[in-house]
Amino acid sequence: MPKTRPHILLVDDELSIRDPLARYLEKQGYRVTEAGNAASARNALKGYDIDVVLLDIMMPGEDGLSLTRHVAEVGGPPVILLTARSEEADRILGLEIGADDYVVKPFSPRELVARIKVALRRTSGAAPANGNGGAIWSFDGWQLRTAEQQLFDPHGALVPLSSGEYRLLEAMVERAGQVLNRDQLLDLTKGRVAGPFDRAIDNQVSRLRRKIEPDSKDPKYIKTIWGGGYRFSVEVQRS
Amino acid sequence: MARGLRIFPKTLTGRIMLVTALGIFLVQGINSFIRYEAMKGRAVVEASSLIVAVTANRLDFGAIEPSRPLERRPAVRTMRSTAPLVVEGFTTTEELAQRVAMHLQSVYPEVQAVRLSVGPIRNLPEQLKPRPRHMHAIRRPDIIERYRRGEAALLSLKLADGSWLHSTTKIRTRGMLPQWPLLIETLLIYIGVLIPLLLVIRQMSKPLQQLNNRLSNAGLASDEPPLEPRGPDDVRRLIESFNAAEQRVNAMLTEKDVMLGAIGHDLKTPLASLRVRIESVEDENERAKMATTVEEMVQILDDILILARLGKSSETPVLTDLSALVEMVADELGPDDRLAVAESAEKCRAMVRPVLLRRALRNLMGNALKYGGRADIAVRCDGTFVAITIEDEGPGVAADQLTGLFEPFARAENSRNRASGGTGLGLTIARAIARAHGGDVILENRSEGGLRAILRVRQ
Repeated sequence: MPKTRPHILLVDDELSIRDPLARYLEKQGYRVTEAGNAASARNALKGYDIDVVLLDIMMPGEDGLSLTRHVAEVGGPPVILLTARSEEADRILGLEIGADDYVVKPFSPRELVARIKVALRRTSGAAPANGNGGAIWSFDGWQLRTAEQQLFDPHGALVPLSSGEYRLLEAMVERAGQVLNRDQLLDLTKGRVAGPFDRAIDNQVSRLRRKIEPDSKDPKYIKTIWGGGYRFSVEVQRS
Repeated sequence: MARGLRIFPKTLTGRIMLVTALGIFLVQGINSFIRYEAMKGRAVVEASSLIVAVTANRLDFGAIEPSRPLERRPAVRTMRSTAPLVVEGFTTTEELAQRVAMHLQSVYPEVQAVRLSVGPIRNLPEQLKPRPRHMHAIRRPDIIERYRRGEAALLSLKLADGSWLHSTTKIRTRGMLPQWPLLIETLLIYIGVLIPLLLVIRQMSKPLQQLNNRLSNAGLASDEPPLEPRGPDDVRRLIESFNAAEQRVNAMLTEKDVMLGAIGHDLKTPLASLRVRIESVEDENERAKMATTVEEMVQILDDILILARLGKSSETPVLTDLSALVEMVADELGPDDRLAVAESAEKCRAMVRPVLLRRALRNLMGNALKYGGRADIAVRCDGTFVAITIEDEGPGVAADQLTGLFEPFARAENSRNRASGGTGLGLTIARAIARAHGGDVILENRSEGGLRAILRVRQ
């Protein structure tokens, strides 16, 4: 029986953000518990059945990253980090230690709600167990690192992918050898990060091919199956 | 500095060495002059004794005839006169004359007076001018001329009959002042003084050199460890002062970074608060405008922070497929193919900071989109550089404004006000990032219209 009002734990030492954000979220139909520091956040996590944690990274005392690690270790609810720094290093670190998503301050509250919804949908459905397991998929010299969400070519060079491209590749690599039609791919790539995903899968595939195929006119990895969809056609190893 | 002084060495070592060498040279010059004078005195004595010996001989044999065989080798020439001879330029040497007189008069009582003087040969009467010793030289006027350039000693004796007997001989100074020993001596002084001096100066100037190198290579606030104070006390104190100054500058820079970070954080917090509160504004139009304003403020803040922290980026360089990076940025900015990336034949990879470089590319491609509507992008590499060329179809930029565009807060036209977007730091940031990657950003107008931006980074 799903709860009617999802319970959000909002952890931020800045009252000027916490207070209006809590009211906004309440208006959007969520139940909000506020915490001004990591200690009271831990108490709230013990005392309530929290569905999503919104967590400020920079806090005096125990910081957000440490608390994220704790939540991930005990298999707690999904964590969305609120960060003032847009440096990607923070993002990678945050996601690596078990955060589900992040928004950079100042964020649009509407976007935050969209991401909360994505996080809730993932927990209410069957949560993908492999989400942040830190798996490394290898194929033909390439490496797809899920912890960092990064792809490295056989020369060891980082190949920058958009989040859409990354999720598409991850979905196909995880199901190497299977034929996946466009609907399935669309479902699989609707990931945790909110964004414009409505672009045609075909378009994404062709962009991905330009980046990874030795010859994008004659694809070696992502093969088009007539009438079916796409299939990742090289052997993949997980480590 | 005057042109003539250019040959004066510029370095400390050079100057000290030159001055010392000149000083030694001068002292040696004076030294040899003094010695020459002493030698000359002896030469006069020698010449005098020669004249005395010959004159004594003449006195022994009585009358002196110029035709005598002795005259054929006239190392000493003699002349008789009735009156005393006064030759211009000849100075008497009293002390020596007295001694000669004493000796001569003790043997030859007929000698009544003795005068000894020294002066230039050319002033002597022809009959008394000494001649070169070698026979063949007598027919060579040039040799005779040279021979007579020196000085002669003139001995005049007043004899009992009241006549005067004059004898002259050249004062032989040539070869008296030996050249080689003097040269060797000078050389030894040079070695003995200049080499230890060089070592001492080097010991002093080496730490100075080190300090200089450090300043010109790494600048004042480098991350390098402080210099070790070495050399003499003054230099040591200089290095210590430098270290202290550098430490202060470093502390100031750190403070600046901390302050900028704090400003960034402290401003973002109220902005974030404002951004959340905006949602409670009823008017949707007003709400959107407020949100845009907040976003602009954040962007300016981010730009300033990036520029200020560029030198101390926390991002580590990663080998990156730049072709893919360019495609990703083009995809983010213009998903509708307005940014057309030409498919490159080979993948261009380079060690870069991908987040920073992405920022530079975003700025350049964003400009191309904003002012040109669409752009063609190509990635090329030649093993040294990766060049990313962005060619738009906009109006281009007046040639005289091209370089000024890189100045912070510059915009090509006055009409491009803030409403057209951007902080005016985009190109400044792009260039600073490219330079941090060993490259640069170049802007040029295309002959077919539009602007071409080339971002290069070292491979």
